[in-house]
Amino acid sequence: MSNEFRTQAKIIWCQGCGNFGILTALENAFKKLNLNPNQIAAVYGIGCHSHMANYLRVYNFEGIHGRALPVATGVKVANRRLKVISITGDGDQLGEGANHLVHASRKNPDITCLIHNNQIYSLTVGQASPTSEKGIKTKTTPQGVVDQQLNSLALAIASGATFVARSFSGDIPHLTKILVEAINHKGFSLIDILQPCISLNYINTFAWYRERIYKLEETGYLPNDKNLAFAKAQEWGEKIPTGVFYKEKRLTLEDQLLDKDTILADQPVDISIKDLLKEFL
Amino acid sequence: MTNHGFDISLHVIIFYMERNDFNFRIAGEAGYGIASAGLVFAKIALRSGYFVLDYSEYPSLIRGGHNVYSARVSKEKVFSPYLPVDFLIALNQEAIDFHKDQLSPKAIVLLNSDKASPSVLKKGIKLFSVPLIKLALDSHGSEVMMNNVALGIAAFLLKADFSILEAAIKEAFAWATADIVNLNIKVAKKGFDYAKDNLSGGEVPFSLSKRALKGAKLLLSGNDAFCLGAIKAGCKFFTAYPMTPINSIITYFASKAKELGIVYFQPEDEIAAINSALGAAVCGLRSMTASSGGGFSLMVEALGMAGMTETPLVIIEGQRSGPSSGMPTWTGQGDLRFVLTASQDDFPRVVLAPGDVEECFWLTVGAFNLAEKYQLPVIILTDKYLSENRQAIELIDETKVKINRGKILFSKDCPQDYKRYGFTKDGISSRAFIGQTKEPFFTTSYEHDEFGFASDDAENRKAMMEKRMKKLETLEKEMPKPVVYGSKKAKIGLISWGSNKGIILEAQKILQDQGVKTDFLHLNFLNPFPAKPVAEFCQYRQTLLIEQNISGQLAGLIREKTGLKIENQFLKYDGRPFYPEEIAEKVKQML
Repeated sequence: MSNEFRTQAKIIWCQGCGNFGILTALENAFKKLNLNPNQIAAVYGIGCHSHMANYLRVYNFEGIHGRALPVATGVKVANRRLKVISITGDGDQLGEGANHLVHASRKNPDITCLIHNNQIYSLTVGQASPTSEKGIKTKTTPQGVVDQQLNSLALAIASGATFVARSFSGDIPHLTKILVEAINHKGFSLIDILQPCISLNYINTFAWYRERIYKLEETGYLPNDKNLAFAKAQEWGEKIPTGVFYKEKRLTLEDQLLDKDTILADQPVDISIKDLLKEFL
Repeated sequence: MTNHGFDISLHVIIFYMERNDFNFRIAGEAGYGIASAGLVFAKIALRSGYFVLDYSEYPSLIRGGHNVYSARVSKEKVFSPYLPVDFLIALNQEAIDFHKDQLSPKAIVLLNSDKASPSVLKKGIKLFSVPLIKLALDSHGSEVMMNNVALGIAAFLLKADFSILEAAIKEAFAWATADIVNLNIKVAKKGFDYAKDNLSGGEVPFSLSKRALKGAKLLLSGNDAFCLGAIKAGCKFFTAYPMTPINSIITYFASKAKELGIVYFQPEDEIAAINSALGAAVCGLRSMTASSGGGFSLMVEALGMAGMTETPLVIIEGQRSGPSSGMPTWTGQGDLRFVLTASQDDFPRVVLAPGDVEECFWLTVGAFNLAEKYQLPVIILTDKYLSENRQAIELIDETKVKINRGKILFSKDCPQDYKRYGFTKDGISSRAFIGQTKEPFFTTSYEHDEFGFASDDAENRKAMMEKRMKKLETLEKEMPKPVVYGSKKAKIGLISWGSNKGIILEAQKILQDQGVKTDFLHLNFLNPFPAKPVAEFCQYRQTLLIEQNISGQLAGLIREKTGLKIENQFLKYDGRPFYPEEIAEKVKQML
């Protein structure tokens, strides 16, 4: 089957890994949006998620752990013609990269940020992540996780993100729909993607999620109330909401930095500094 | 204790007086406009037809924060500050107490009698005691305007045109309302007229009377020159987190970005700064970041990514006294070894060190060319002294700027099976930009194959490491030879790097007047390192190495690259720049 968004590289994720669903949903979303591979730049952190840099046929920039968002911001400001997707993991984005999530939410560049949230460090084979549930035993927490679980949705809402959503890698149609909406959203969009790790997380499995998740859009929830969204983001446990929690319109970083329609990457390099020098005479 | 623990000998002072050099200083409490008065004074000197070079200290010496601005004024080109003060404006008691021992024998002192009582000064020094605050208030100004009263008086005593002072004040208050501008001018005029009426008998042995000056046109700090160099070189993207001493680079870019259609934004930290700059660079922008050693420490991991992904980037590293927070507003050269080796494993990088304001401009232009031509990070090492002090220089001829972007591949020429990291003889692959090819390509911080796919194949790894390092070998061939200043058959060779340049040139003048011939090898390139010319210079002769760190970092580098050990080292690490007088003394001890 031909797939214009897939490279020939051999996929090395574990059979059954939650990342497969995200890869497929992304490809579906790009097709639905009628995008060409050369219209999309994907920036990655480091983790199992970032292997996708070898499989997804778009411009890929696989950076360093936790730092995808600043790179993505640079790309977007430099060339706003590109659709920019920041593909990250829970340890990556919420551990070392948490500060960048806070500030990307404030700055509102037109970037879609995916957190492949498997609640564990998988590439380094099983340490606790910021989203690991309290009490869970991992290689770094043999007595059980003592830290409070980090809530990325509440963090993003509080920090000023203009599109905040959650989906599940086991529900490709839903994830595709959310991705299309997020990429179409002009501003910073965050999607927390529940992505079971079948090799290292024996608790938060596909079955565990299927028992708990429900869709906000089926409950008449409207994502236009920040306080309500913040409250909804606290819900976790017996029932786990998915869908769009919050959405608002705000000027993007690049729209405030640049004149309308200016593409920085198209500007000529050589300029005159004659007028600038006059100020120093 | 004074801030320069150095005894000056009388012949040095006479030497300067005869040259019609004079050293102006204004000192007082932080918050009383010392820095703005300094800039106004420097502009008066330049526009009256003199060369000027200034130096600011803004430490907290004891209490209240004592700020000092010094400017050396001369009919000839000057390269560094010097010690004795010929014209002192002391705005408060500390200012006279701290600086009275540094006055030259025939110095002029303008003392603010509202804040200080006349001290006992050495015979020959002329004291004008003037109630600066009272005069400011008399003309309906406020206490903080006493600096402009003082400038008005100084302008009269130094026979400067009031119109030049007036224009400079207008520029200094460009941000303010017309009322504030006019009030500051009125206050300065009050000082000027007061001096005319009351101090006319005072003979001042030097002046700012208008003369025609050939040459000096621009008054630039090192940071100004970095900005102008970067903008001229086509830098479109600058992001940096505030830190002394690079803040004025940020201020300039932030203030000009909209007008020039370029970008500055304030990132959350230095890690974001460098990562964003790299993101912009892979899209084809000439991009830059800046910090001091502390912020550069945070950038180190991404520096390696620039090396691995072969992404061009210019980084300005403004050194100050460390380690850690150290002495934030004081100078130093302690980061050389750090920037040479920062980040894990080997990758090519260029480290440049400008020696003066002109070199700041031209090396920045060169840095952008090298970064793109060789697809690597270029670090420009400056320091608090060079970054913040202003120097009058000749007009920059921007037609001499040449842009070289290296092996750039645009969409129409980009083949279907484009290899971003293709192997070549010179190690340099053709470089396309994200967003500007038909076929997307891959960039990763992992070791990768020619297409940019992650790979840990042993053969490929070896070839890729060698390819990247090959770029430095290629670059070495075009690296300019370091310049030697001074006498041909000199007995003693001086070797140094970066901002010591001007100070050493002044020391050479002092020594030459005393019949001591020296030559001086000034290094701009620290990596790649010009090992051969350095070895030729240092071998079989007496050499004095001069740098501002405790371990002799350049000496260590020379030993590493040439095998030569330089025994005579003059190292300073008290946060203050060298003074030419102390270098001259040191050389004489070697005779």
